[in-house]
Amino acid sequence: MSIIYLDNFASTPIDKEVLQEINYVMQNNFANPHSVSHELGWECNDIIDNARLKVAKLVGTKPNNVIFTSGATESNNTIIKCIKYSDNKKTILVSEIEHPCVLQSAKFMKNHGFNIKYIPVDNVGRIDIDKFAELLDDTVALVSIMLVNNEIGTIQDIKTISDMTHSVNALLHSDCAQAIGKIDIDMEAMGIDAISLSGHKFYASKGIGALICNEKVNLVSLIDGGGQEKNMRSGTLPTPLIAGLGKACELAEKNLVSDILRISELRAYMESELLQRITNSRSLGDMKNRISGSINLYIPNIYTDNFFVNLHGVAISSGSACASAGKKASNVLQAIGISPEVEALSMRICISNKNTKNEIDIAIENIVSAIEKSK
Amino acid sequence: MIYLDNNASMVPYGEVLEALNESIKNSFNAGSVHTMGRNSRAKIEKARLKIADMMGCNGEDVLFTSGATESNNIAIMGGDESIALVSALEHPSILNVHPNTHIIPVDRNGIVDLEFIENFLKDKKAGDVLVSVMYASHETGTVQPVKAVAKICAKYMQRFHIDAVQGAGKRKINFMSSGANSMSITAHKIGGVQGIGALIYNRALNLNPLMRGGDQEKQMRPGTVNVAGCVGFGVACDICVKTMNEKIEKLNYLRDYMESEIIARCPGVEIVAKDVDRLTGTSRIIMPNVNSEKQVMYMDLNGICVASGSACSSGVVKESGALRAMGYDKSCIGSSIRIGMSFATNKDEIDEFIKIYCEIYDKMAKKSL
Repeated sequence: MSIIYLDNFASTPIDKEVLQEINYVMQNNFANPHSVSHELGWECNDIIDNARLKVAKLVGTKPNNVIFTSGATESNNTIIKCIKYSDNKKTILVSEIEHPCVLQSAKFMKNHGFNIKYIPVDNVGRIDIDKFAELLDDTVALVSIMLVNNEIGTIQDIKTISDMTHSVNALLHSDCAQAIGKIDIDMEAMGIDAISLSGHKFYASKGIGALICNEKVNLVSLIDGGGQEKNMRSGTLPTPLIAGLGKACELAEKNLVSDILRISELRAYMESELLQRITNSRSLGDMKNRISGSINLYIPNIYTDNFFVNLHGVAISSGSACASAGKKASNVLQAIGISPEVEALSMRICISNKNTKNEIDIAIENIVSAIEKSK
Repeated sequence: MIYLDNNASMVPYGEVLEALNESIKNSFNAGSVHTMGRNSRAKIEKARLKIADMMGCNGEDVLFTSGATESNNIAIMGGDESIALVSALEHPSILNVHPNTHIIPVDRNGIVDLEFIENFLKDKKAGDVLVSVMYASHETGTVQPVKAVAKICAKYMQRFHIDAVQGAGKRKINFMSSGANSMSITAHKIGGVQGIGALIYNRALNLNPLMRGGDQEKQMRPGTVNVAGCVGFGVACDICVKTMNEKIEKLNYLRDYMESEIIARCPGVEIVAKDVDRLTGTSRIIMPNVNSEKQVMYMDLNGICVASGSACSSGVVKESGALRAMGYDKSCIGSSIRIGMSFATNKDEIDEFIKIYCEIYDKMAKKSL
């Protein structure tokens, strides 16, 4: 029996066209893209430039602003640790619901003499604008707030946040790993100075991502060496993975609207079925502002371990996959007021553009049956 | 196209491409607790063992990274040493990292000056110097006396790192008996694909991570693991181990044949580091007074890919720092090319290369001699 994959916050399956692109480039363009002495090197370089254009286009910026990295973790580490900070601006604000790599990087900066403040969110995961305003002052250098949360799918009111951030001459960084390919991103219109993204969250491969910064962002490099990516990220660029990332951006641009429509329908159906059939269940997050595939179902009095033992044929997770192996209580759920002490199950589901109605039907049956058995 | 730039990036093995294709289709987040996550985790661990097998270390000594540049950065900046002592032939990802870097001179063949290392370390506090010497040079193929360097480092209790990018998969390397504390390797130089590499080191060393985040790779390297990359890397290591001896034999033959033909037919041409132990398949050849750009362009027009310098300076052709450090003058440095062969190179290709090389010589070099 094949498993129905609904854990698309953790990683998405690769798109067929992306896979084709990667396969083609792997076979035909294996040269070093930084080799300047022969045609095979130039071709690789052209492929990378072409992908860079597609990435830039998808997020509404110039290709020059795109720095390829190994993924969002590296991008987030770079932006937080490697901005050229000035002496009178040493405060960094991050939201309470950021990914561990943002929170841990901030903690690292704290150990290096920076002032780190955490921006609270309301009970649906939106930034508490009043509290945010209180935290903003002239010492703030950087604000880092994810555009879409990786557990409850909440989308932030980023324009308001960017206006407020810029009023104290700070930079706004947004971890867009969960937003890219799911909602329309326009860095310029949204007023975001830097974004991080990862290929494997929107149908490209693992091992590739990008940090995209506008001209206001003054960076030093995290990884040094041959001086690739204008000295901002050394290391041989992985041509096939970058070609795949470019392809995924092209597809996202083309399919975004139809994807959202179709996935929203599947989500509405699945969510209402689950809510109806599972007693006492409720949905967490912002029902008006969340990405189309996201469901976070909260069910009291169910042991998480029991549920997952009883669940067959469906891949979903509880909380963030990064924390789940170590079984730490989710910082996101705590931030929206869910007590880590109360025994309850939080089911994190994310539907992708590859899922079918038939799969959703089977998943609903299996989930409901696992809940019955776990009572 | 005849591809002889395998030191920049090697032709991937067909088996690696197949494994990658299969694996990319089915790779999930290895941090997820469901079956699919667990399967991905198992694939990573299987690959880790294959890499350990090639490097003569334990599986737990293998830390997956995005490539050798990242591995080298972790190795150099992960400790608390206030000084880095690195050879003049090192890759920029070793040379340009530590803020207080000192250079070990090399001789005309590119071999590090062991006496210099000894004298440098003599009066330094134990644990305050990180020494880094590459296994073999990507520019000339010169194999370094790393065991001797390791001994000196052990004597003065300093940490020793080896950039083994060009040696791995081509020579039998045993990390455990090497005396080194760490080694960097990368897939795309051994027949794998770009975007995945490893740092080999004993976790007792307690290096600091370069990045912070999730708990992947025992908190030493956060970020969703590139499952397919690991799998492909593992397959490449497997093939390298199994085919090493025949590959060495073949490439030694091809290189010696090529070099002797060229020396015989092109008087005045010099092979760099010819008389010392060199990596199989690597040659740096100087054709005096003929600009290397002209040579590589002529080669390219005839469908042959070779390199002039090393391929990492983002489109800028820089003169070879290695040759300068080896004491060659400007006219020689600017007139050399680098040949890097691979398992896929055959005699017909080498014959074609020799033919074109001699053409260049006849057209451009003869008159200036």
